[in-house]
Amino acid sequence: MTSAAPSLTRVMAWLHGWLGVVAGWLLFAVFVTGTLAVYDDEIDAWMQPERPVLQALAHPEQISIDRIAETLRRDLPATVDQWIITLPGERRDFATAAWFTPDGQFQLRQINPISGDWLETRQTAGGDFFFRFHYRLSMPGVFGKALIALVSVVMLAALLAGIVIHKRFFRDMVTFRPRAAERRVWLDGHLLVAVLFLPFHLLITYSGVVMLSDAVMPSGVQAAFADKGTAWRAGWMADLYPQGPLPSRAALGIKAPLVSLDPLLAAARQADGGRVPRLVIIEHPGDQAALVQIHQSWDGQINRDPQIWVHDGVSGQVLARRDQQRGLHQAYTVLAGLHRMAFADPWLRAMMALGGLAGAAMIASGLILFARKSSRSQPDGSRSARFVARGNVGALAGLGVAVLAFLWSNRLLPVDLPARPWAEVGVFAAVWLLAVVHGCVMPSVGRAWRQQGAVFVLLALGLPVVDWISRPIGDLAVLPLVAVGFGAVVLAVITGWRPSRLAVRTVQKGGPVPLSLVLKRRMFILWGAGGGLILAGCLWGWSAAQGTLLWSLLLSFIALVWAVAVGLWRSRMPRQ
Amino acid sequence: MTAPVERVAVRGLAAVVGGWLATSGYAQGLAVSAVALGAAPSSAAMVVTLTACLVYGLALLWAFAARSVWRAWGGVLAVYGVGLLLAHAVPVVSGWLEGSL
Repeated sequence: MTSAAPSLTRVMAWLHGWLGVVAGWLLFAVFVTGTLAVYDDEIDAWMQPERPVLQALAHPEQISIDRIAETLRRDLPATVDQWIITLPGERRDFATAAWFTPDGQFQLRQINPISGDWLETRQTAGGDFFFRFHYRLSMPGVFGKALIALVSVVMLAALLAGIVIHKRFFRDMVTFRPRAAERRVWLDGHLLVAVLFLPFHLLITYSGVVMLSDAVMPSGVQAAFADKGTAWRAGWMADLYPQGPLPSRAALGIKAPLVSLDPLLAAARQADGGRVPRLVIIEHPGDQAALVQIHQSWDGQINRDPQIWVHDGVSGQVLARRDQQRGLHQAYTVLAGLHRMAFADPWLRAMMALGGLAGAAMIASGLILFARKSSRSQPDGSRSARFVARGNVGALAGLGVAVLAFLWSNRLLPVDLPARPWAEVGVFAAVWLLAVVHGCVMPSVGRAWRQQGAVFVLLALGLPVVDWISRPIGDLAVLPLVAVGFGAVVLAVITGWRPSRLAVRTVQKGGPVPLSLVLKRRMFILWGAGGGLILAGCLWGWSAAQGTLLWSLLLSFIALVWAVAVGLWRSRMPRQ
Repeated sequence: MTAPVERVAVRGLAAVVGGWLATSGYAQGLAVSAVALGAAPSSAAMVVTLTACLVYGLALLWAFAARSVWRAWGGVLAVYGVGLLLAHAVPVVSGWLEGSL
């Protein structure tokens, strides 16, 4: 019945292409938003420009939970029976207070950790939106997580298939031929970012799937805790710690004053070498059965497994202290820590962001390559190739436009708009949808790419202007500068990529190069190098970013003069 | 790109649905067996959590690499069946052995 079986390499090559296409658009969005989420706190800070700089960790002894508790006691309804207070960390210098309303709604507000007053800032989806989008598409429930877990498994399989079909790992790592045929350039680029960053791609994909696996494949855990019935998750959590579960009490309904919390905080700080604890949870505040949990800081720890002290909320007596998890669970928390990189210093986080961008570039180049390869193998243009080519425009370029529109909306929407975070997310979704439709209905795919690229450049280069106009205090921030860097690189590609290659070929054939081509080639180098310099400066740090901005402006000016002068000189030379 | 294997849709179903079943069977079989043989439940759950996605990924590759559709489905269902068998048999055998010793 079966004919001669195709070779494994051929099947894997075919599968690699199709797995990439099936999951590629979503994976590209996951990688881009995941990369943005590496800087979620910084994006949050940019999206709330009215938030004052507190530098709370510079004076940890001034941080007061008693003042925060006083504000919560004054302003929250008495029915709220749990306060969750997050204290400042290395990347954020304010505190937050969170609670559940009686109807189960989660509420979170920012608070000054020194004075205990509410911070009056605009409502925004913030950098947290990118974080939530990248692992559950910002959807409630399990559907978004399940979809991301499935495409992540597909990515894992595509990576394994890719490893099977490649035999020249070390050559691919250093091969890039920008002057070769265009399809070869895309393939070289795809292989370069795939092979060079392969350990990162494998780690981030594997750890991502593992982090989502208990939500979508709970049967194994449920089976291990079958004796706990529907409470299997609680049983699992309790079994992770040899000391058993943390103490818990029901409210007694007898009023009693909450113990002074600042001495407990000071003791916890002293026990942890001066580091400010990160989380304080107060259960049943004002009740005789009140409990206070103090969680050690997890800044700088790969394994987010903080020591926890539980105090009686009235007497302040220590009831329990929880230390390390079971050994095997630490493998999981270390893996999750490596995925989040919350422990990392700025350099390591920059490397993480670079890896994320490489992943996005690998997926994008693979998708573009698929469309070109399919249309080439079938000269009349196969339906799948046309579909992928059109979808690529909205899914790849459109996402960049939508992200920038999201940032613009943060500054342009009225500050007192009701449900403001949802309005920002709505702008993101609407612009992305519009871009997808635009990519599908435009007669020419190339023109759709250029138009969306042009919109991206306009939004990116305009972001510092919007920032400057709408920012009440302070000077230019890093985020708009990053946008300018990307905008310059995209501008280089859409204006100079093809003319630049054409100019090189004309020179190789010994023909004269028209002035317009020379100028476009100069502009390609100019914008590409300038954008790259600005992005490198942003990775280095804020002061370096300012420096490289000035340098790239100066170099741009010199290069422009040079481009025009050389172009004019060449155009006056007699043609041979 | 022309497909080098036949009946792609059926194989796709084997990859997604069959792969999920195989992973589920593997997870249950491993977790229950490990607990029955004396491992801490949280350790068994963690081993399953760390390895289940690899089983799913391999099942996905298997569904397309198998020589025929029958083998593709047969492979994933076999893993599912063996997993369920272990999940039910190992506690019984383990209990029986403990009782007899």
